[in-house]
Amino acid sequence: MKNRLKVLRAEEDWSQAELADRVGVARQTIVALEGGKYAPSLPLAFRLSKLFQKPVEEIFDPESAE
Amino acid sequence: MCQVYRPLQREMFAVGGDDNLKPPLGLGKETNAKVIPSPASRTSVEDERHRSLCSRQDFREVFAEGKSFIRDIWSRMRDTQLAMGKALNPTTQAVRTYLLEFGLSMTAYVVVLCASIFLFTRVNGVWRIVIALLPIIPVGLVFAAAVRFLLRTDELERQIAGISLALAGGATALLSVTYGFLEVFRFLPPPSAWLTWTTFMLAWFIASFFVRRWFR
Repeated sequence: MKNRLKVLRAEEDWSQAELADRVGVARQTIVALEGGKYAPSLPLAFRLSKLFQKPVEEIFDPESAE
Repeated sequence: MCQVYRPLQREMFAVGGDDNLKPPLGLGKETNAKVIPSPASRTSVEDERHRSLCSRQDFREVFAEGKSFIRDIWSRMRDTQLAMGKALNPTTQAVRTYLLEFGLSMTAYVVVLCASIFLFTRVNGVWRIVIALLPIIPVGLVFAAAVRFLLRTDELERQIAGISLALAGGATALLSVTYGFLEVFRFLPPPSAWLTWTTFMLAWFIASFFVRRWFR
């Protein structure tokens, strides 16, 4: 699933590890999410949405979901 | 607060013809307003029932508010800890706890295994079976530690473990069936039960490596 995580993270000037800490996941999860290889669970998607203060559909592109 | 209580409040605490709802005396802002008693149409049993319903509902609301307040405090504390670089990622915490539990279980395993080997030749009858099976207890603890780790850890890690376990299970089943056919036609001797365990663990290790790599 394509997403704007990398861009949003860069805007906040956070490292992958920092973002992982903020949403309570492993850094590898952020790597997989940014690479579009992993679709997050609903709780994680909502945590990211709350953190970046953007709706979920603005972070994740549902059209690109396989 | 309580919707059920409102009509009753309106009747009991209506102030001098003013229809606006005022808080009950002692619960909200104190007023010098004259309190008009409840009309005779509402019996005391009904009033009591209403009060009981309201107090339960109020309690739930207060409880929910308290819960959300505590959650908010925790969240703020965690944010502060994160900002100070003191908080541990839940996955890191899960790994640390797992390593501790695994280490303790393996230590227990080694101790029990040594004791089992030492005692095996010194007992007879049913006790031999009991002594031979004793190391199963710490092995069970290792299994419990692994399950607890999977429940505590990160969602991707859980998914990787799930896929790897499924692949390992499938590969072990395929190899077991292959071996079984060869055994049926007397090409191979009956295998040791350890062979299945070793095959499964090996397959799990290999599958984990490739699944983890795929998610990178």
